[in-house]
Amino acid sequence: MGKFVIDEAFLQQVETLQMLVKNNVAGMFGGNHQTKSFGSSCEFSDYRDYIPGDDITKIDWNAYARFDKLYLKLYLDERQMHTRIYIDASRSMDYGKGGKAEQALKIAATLAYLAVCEMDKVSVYIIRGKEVEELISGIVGREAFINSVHKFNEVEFFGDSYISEAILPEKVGYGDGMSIIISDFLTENNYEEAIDYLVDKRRHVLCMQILSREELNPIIRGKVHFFDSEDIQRTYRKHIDREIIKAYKKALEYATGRIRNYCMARNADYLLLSAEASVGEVLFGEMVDMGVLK
Amino acid sequence: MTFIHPLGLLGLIGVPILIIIYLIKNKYTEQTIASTYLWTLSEKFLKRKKTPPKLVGLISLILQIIIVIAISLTIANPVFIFSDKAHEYCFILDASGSMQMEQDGNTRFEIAKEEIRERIDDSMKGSVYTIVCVSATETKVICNQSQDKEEALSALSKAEPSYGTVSFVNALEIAQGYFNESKGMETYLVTDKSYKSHDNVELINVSDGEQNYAVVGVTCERDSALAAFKIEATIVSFEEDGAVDVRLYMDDTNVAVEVKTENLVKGEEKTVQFYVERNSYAWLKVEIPNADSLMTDNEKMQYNLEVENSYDTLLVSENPKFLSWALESVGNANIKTYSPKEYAEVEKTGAPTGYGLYIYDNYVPNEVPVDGAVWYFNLNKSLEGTGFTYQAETAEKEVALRLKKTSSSTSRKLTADLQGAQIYVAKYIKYGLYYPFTVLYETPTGDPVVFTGTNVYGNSEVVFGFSFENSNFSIVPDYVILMRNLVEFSFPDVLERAEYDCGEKLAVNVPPACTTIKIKAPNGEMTYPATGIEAAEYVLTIPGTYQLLLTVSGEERSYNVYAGIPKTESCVTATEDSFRLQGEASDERLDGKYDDLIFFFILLFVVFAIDWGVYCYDKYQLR
Repeated sequence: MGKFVIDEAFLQQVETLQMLVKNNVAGMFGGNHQTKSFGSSCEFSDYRDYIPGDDITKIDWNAYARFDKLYLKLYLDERQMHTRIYIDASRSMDYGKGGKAEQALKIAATLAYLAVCEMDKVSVYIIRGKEVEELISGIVGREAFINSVHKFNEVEFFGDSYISEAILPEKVGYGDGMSIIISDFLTENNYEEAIDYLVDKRRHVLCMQILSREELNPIIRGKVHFFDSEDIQRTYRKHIDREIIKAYKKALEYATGRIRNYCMARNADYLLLSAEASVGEVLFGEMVDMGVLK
Repeated sequence: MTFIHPLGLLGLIGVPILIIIYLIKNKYTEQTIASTYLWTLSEKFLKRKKTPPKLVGLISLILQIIIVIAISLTIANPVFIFSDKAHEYCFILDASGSMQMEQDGNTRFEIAKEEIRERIDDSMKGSVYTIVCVSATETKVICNQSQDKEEALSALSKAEPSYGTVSFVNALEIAQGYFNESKGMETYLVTDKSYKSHDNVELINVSDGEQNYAVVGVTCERDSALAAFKIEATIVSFEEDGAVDVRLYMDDTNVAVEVKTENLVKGEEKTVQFYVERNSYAWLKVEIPNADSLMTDNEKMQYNLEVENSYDTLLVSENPKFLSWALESVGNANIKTYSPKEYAEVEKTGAPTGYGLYIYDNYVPNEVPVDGAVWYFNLNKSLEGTGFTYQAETAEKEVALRLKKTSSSTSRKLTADLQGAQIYVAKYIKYGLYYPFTVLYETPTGDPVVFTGTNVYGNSEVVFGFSFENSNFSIVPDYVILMRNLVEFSFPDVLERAEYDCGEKLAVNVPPACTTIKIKAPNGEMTYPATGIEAAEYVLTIPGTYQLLLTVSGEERSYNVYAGIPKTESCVTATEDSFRLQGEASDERLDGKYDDLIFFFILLFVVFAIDWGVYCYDKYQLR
C-alpha cells in the first residue's frame, strides 16, 4: 500500500466544508451540529411563554417591558457527532492497477479530518472477513487525528469481506452521526442487512462504491481466462467480443443500480466513484452536489 | 492451365504460417482480476446464450487461408488456355491522301484506325496482330506478328496518313507471306477504295460518299497576241453537281485577281480560263473556297519557273550587242552592262558581286569573281585562279577552228545539237591549261580556243580565245546553240519544275560551288540534303509550299515548289480491280489465353487487408 499525500493546502480547503447529517442528531453535547431540539447555543430560535420553573435567566425582559408578559428566549441546541467510517479491506480493493484501495483510504482520511474539524468524534474501521477491526477509535480534535493518520498507511488488503456479517455485531451508536461504508461492493455477499442495521440505528448512512477504470469500461478483447483475486476458484473463461462487453455494461448497471436503489429506498446516500477521480473532485464536486457536504 | 511465374506459388508457405499464428493467437490469455463478479453477472445479460459453433470461429482463418492461396496463385499468374479461340490478324491500313477526307469531324484515317482498334480489343488474348501501314512513301509493317494487344494498339495510334497515292503491291506481298505461313489468318484491308473482288481479304471501306471539290491541274502560258498570261485551271466535283467559286491569286494572297463562279457536274472535269495582263509573276494560286471533306486539294499553286531560275548577268564589253542578244534569246538573264572603262572605275572601289554570270569581253578583271560563273572573251593577260595562262597572241591569219567532241558527259552536253559549222578566226590567243578543261574548239595545230572548266572557286568558267570582231562565229547557226549550252553549263536550272504531287521526288540540280542545301517543308521541318552530288532528291510528303535554299559561293538563293494532293487521291469513290491473297483459307485457329488477374489480385488483397483490420479492431480495440 503506497503512501498518499494530503497536503496543507488541501486540508485548508477541506476545513471550509461541513458535513450535513440528515437525521435528528442525538449526540453528545458540545459539538458543532445543530439539532432540531432547543439547547444552549448562541443561535436564537424562538419565544415561548414562561412556565414556572424555567430558567429565569432566559426571560426576555425587553419583551416583558413591552407586552407586560413573561417570554422565554429559546436557542438551538448543538451536539457532537460520532462519524464512523468502514473500509472494505478485501483483496479485490487492492488488486492490479485499479487504485481502489488508495482512493478508499484517501477519502476515508479526508472525511475523518473533516469530522474532527467539526469537533466530532471519528472512528475508522477495517472490514476484513466477517469482522471489523478498529483502525482509529473515537478520536476528537485535529491533534489526535494527525497523530493517528499514519495508521491509514498500515492497512493491508487481503482476503474476502462480508460487510453485513462484520457490521451487524458491532455497536454503531444511535442517531449520533454518519456511517460511511467504502467498498467496491463487487460481491454476492450480503451488504443490505448492514445498511438496514445502520439506518435502524438512525444513523446517516453513506455508501461509497469505488470502481477502477477497467471495471467501469473494460477494454480487453479476445480469448481470456479471468481468475478472481479473492478466490482462485472463481473463474471466467470467454472470448470477449462486442456482445460480451454489452452484457458486461448491463451487469455493471445492474450491480450499481442494486445498491443505489437499495440506499435510495432507505433514505441512505450512495455515491459511485472512479478510482482515478481526485479526492478534491469527490469532495467538492460530487459530495457537495448530492448534499452530503456543504 | 500453366503458370507464368511459378515462384509465386511459394506464397503458399503463408498457409501453414497463418495456421501457426492462428493456433498461437487462439490460446486463452490467463489473467487475474480484482473480481470476476461483474463478468459472471454479465452472463445473465448475454443475448447469445449458446457458444458459437467452432466453425464460426474458424471462418476468419478459412477466409484468410483462401485469400493467401488465391494471392499466391495470382502472383504465379496462371494462364488459362482456350483452344482454338484466338486468331491471327493482318490489318492493311491505307494511309493515302484520300484517307484525310473528313466525315462527321473524323478523317477516314481515324475511322479506319478505330475499326482496327475495335477488332483488336474484341479479340481474345493469344491472338497475333500484324499491321501494315501503306503510305505514299513506303509500305511499313508497324506491328509484326505481335501477341501484345497494347503494343499493337500503340503502334496503330502512332500511324499517320500521308498525302500521296499509295500502292498496295508491297502490302499484298507482305500479307501473302503471312497468309502462306498461316492459312487461318484473317486479313483486313481498311481503305476508302472499292474493290471488285477481294479474295481471302475482308474489305473495310471507310468512305462514305463525302462531297469533295478539287483543283486537279493548273497551267499558265504567255499569250503573246494578247500580251497576257493565260491560266487554265481544271476543277472537278466528285460527289454532286453544284456551283463553286474559283479564285485566282497572283503574287498577293489577300486580293484575288479574278473570281469566277462555275457550275460543275458530278465527276466531270471542267477547265476554267483566266487571262491576266501583266509582264511577269512569281506565283499564282487557284482556289475553290467551298468547304468540303478534303480542303487540301481545293487549291493549287504554281511558281513561275522562269523567275525561280533567273539570274543576273554582268557584262563588261565595248560592244555588248552580240552577247546580250544571244543571252536574252536563250534565257531569262537580267543583264547589267559596263564598258571596260566604266568597269575599271567600278573596280577601284571594289569588284561587284552578287551576279550569277560574269562576262568579260576584251577586258581583264583585277581578280576572278568569287560568286558566279565567268566567261572570258579574248583574255589577253594571265589571271590568277583561272586555271590557265596567257601565252601569246597568234599572227593575223585565218584559222579554221575544229569542233572537238569527246565521250565525256560534259563534252556531250556542251556540244549537243551543234551542227559543226565552219568557224574562222583571224586572230586568237594561245593559252596554257593547267586545270582540267573541256576543249570545245581547237586549232588544227591543237591549240585550245574555246574551252570550259572550273576556276579556283569551283565556279564554271568559259573561255573564248578570240574576239567576235575577228571571227564569223556570231553569224553561224551554232552560235546560239553553243550559247544556250554554255548558259546551261554555267548556270544550270536548279529546278526542272515547280509543281509536284505529294509522294513525288523533288529533284534539285546542285550548282557547282553549292555549299549548303536546305529544304523547308510546309510544316516548318528543315531537311539538309547532301551537296556533293549533281542532283539531290527529296520526297515531298505533305501538301504545300516547300522552300529550297541554296548557298552558292556564299550567296543564298531561294526557290519555291508546290506539292499538291494527287488527282487520284481527291476522288472520293476510287475503285480498284482486286485485292487477292493466293491460296485456300483454312479454319486454323490459335489457342486463346486469359491471364488478366491483376484486378482479382487487388480485390483479394483489399479483402485480406479488411479482414485483418477487422480482426485487429476486434482483438485490440484499435480506435
